[in-house]
Amino acid sequence: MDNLDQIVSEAQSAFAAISDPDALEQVKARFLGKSGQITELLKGLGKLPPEEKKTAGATINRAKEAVEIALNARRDAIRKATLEARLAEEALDVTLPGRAEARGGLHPVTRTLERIESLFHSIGFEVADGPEIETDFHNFTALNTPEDHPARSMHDTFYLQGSDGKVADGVLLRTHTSPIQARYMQAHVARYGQLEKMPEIRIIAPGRVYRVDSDATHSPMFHQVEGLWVGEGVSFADLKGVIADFLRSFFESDDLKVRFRPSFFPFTEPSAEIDVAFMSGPLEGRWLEIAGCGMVHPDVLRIAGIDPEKYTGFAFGFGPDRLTMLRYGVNDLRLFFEGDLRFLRQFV
Amino acid sequence: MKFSESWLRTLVAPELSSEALSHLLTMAGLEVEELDPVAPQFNDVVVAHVLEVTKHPDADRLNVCKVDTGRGEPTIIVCGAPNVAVGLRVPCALPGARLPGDFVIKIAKVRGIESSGMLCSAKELGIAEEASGLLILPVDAPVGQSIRQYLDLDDNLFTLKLTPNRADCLSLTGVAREVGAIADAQVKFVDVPEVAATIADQRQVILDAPAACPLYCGRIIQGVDAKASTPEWMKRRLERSGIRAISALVDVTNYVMLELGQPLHAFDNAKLSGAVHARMARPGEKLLLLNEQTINIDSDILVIADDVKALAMAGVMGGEESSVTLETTELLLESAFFAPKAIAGRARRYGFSSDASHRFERGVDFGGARRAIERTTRLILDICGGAAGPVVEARAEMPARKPVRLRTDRAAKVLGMAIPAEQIAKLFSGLSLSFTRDGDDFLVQPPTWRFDIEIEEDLIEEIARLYGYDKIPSPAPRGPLSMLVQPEAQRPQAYVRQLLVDRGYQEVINFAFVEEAWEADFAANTNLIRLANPIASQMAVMRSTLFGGLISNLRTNLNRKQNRVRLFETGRTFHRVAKGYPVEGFHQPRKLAGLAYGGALPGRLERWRSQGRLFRCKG
Repeated sequence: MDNLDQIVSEAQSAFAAISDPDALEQVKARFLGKSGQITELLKGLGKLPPEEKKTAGATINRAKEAVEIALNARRDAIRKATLEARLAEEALDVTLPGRAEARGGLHPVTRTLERIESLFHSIGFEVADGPEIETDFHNFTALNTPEDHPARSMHDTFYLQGSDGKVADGVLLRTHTSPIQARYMQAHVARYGQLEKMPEIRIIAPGRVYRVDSDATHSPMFHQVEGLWVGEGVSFADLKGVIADFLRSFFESDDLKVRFRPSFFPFTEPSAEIDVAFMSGPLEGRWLEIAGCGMVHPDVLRIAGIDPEKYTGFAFGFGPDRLTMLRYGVNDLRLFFEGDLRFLRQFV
Repeated sequence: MKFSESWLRTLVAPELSSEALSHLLTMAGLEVEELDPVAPQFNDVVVAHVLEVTKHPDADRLNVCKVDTGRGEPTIIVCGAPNVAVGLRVPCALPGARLPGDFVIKIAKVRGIESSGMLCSAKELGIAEEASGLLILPVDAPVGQSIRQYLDLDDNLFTLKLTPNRADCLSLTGVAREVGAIADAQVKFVDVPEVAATIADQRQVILDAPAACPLYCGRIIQGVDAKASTPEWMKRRLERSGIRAISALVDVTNYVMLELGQPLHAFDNAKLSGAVHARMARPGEKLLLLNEQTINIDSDILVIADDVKALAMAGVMGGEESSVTLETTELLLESAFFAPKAIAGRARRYGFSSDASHRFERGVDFGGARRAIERTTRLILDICGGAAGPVVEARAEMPARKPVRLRTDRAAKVLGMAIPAEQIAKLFSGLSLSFTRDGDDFLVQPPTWRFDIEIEEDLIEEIARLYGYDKIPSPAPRGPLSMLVQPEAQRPQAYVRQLLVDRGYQEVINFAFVEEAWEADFAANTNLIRLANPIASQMAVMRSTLFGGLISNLRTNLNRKQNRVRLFETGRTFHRVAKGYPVEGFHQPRKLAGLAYGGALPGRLERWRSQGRLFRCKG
């Protein structure tokens, strides 16, 4: 039975050459499968004389056992090697530097605008919008500021050049967000004017505005937020209530004084300037001018088609850039418009 | 409007500290922008008379002076000032004086000679920025008198930031009237008696443009001494109002303008021929102004002319040729009313402004022109001598002052609180607003100096302002509640912005006006929208794309060692179109643009792994 030893050693070396578990099973078939060499030998036992059967059977079975031992040993070895390879592959070095997730941020002024919008939205103000290249009519005339009105000199207006190279007539870059008032009221009247009782107008209108001015506290482009509430019986006291509530909510502080002092805007009467003073912090006790406001001038209501005897209302305009500077302690307005990431990332 | 507190207090003297007065003015709508003392604190400085000056034996630049400080025996003071001389009156700090900067004067030996005090310059007293030597006082300065008292240094400068509707407060009289109303104090208006004519000289006045100039008072004064010096008190009041003293005649007209609010002009009468006309400019007329600017006068400009030519831009600026000089001996004084509409914007058109145009375009009290010419005449006669002719007054139809009705219940509706009619009556009286009552209604006659009382709301503001804005309640807002609908098909801008922020983009806000080259490079735009008056050539064109700004931001950040940049902006772009909405000729859509540069993820590990993709922008 020399050939049995040969089969065993052949099987051992065949198994040893394999590292893939599937291939190992195929090679196993060559020896132990249905027509494998060992199986064939066992099948041949029946042909042998009875006295030889016993010894031959024992010998073949020993050989079979030897092949099976070799097979199992190889199976274990392969399984272990696979596991080790997987472990090696999946090893985690927690001391490596972290891999930062990319993170962006809103512009600080946008944060302020969104905050103002949401505070006013919570008491029923809708967000309104308007064009930035505006007509002279909506920017001034509809707001009770006719040609040559001294109030026009308070606004250093950017004008556009016409195709002939001269100053274009009737258009400009809006100098405030107040024209949105005029436009919104006209649209509101067009929609509801025929009703016995118009729904109230409550809008908040943020946007970019433009004036010929540039230094640490003035930028040729800056932001304003216009608010307007028109309805039956809306009064100056209501204006004071809304503004006081807003300022305390915006700065998240009751530690804040608010004062209204008489001022002048052509499109409101009575008009007021709003000052705040913080009771603590670096600006403690100083009055800071932060908004203009007033009762909508009856002529402005009339131009929009609203009866000032029946409806009254108030309007206000905040400078969100200034509010942002106060809230975050920024002292140069120009930083907002330079796009420097090192500055902007501080507000994430 | 800038003025000295001590001048104001000669007209109205409420029992209030400077700070309290300042607060009161601010809360009444006359915002006090600045309140500064005329001089810093110091004491024991008196007027001294220099009796002898001898060289210091041991120092080249020092003098030993014997001065009279009005305190018995003359004192010896060592002085280093180059302009010290015998006979001068100068300020002297006595031993024990404490000067600005906490500088205490003691008796001390200077190079071996005992000096009992210090002669002072204006800088040492803190009343001037620079000084080249001792402050030399007039020869009649009383020796021994406190310098604070002599120079009226215990005074404050008020600077008001007046709103354009309150031109009536562009004078001391106006401010005093207002203080009287808000502080409930008696106002002592300047007493202006008529000056009788002593000569018959006069010029005819012809109102050719009566709507623009409905009132003109002219008066000739003969035999004036234009070289006379302006009294110190007047100079001081002018200077404390920010007006430089020039010559007696000019100073007097400026002084009366500050005192009464009426801008005046003085022509050299010898340079005029024929009648005085207030007329619109004629085609092709030119005028050399006092500011040495020669202008082509537009036809909508009112001029003062004689029979031959235009002499002055009315209510704006006088002409050089007819102006008074130090050689002038005869004057024609002008005190007129020019309608705000005829003056507004004219000076600005020629690139300047003047105190006169500032006042006339806002409205000058037309009831005060006559008073102002009398006051000016009196002061000129007192200071420069001479003899005055009669006042020639030409008058057309004056601005209408229609009575304004105020309903007490309407005031309550607008203000949100009821103020009783009796209290309203009291507030109106305080402001010298005359009225008649009709139950709880008031019919108010606006005074000639107020150009801002035309409608009921103007009166409501007056009531609220005097009553006190701070006394009006501020209740929690009330109103009908209705839901605000965000249509489901629309995404709010905030949502889109947040989406980008979550993907690592930083928002920026760039100017809407850009360099012309950017429009060509990034948008191939040739149909530019140019600004007529840009602040800089690189901010002259309205953007039609957001890219230019983002790329400029990238450059900024790369220069600042930022190797990975993710940016976005939302904003309008601007395009010329044939038909536009809502502004004809312009399309102004809202856009979103982003820029990505550098590694996909921040941090060192990743930088070598992924190359930056170029621009992933959408718009």
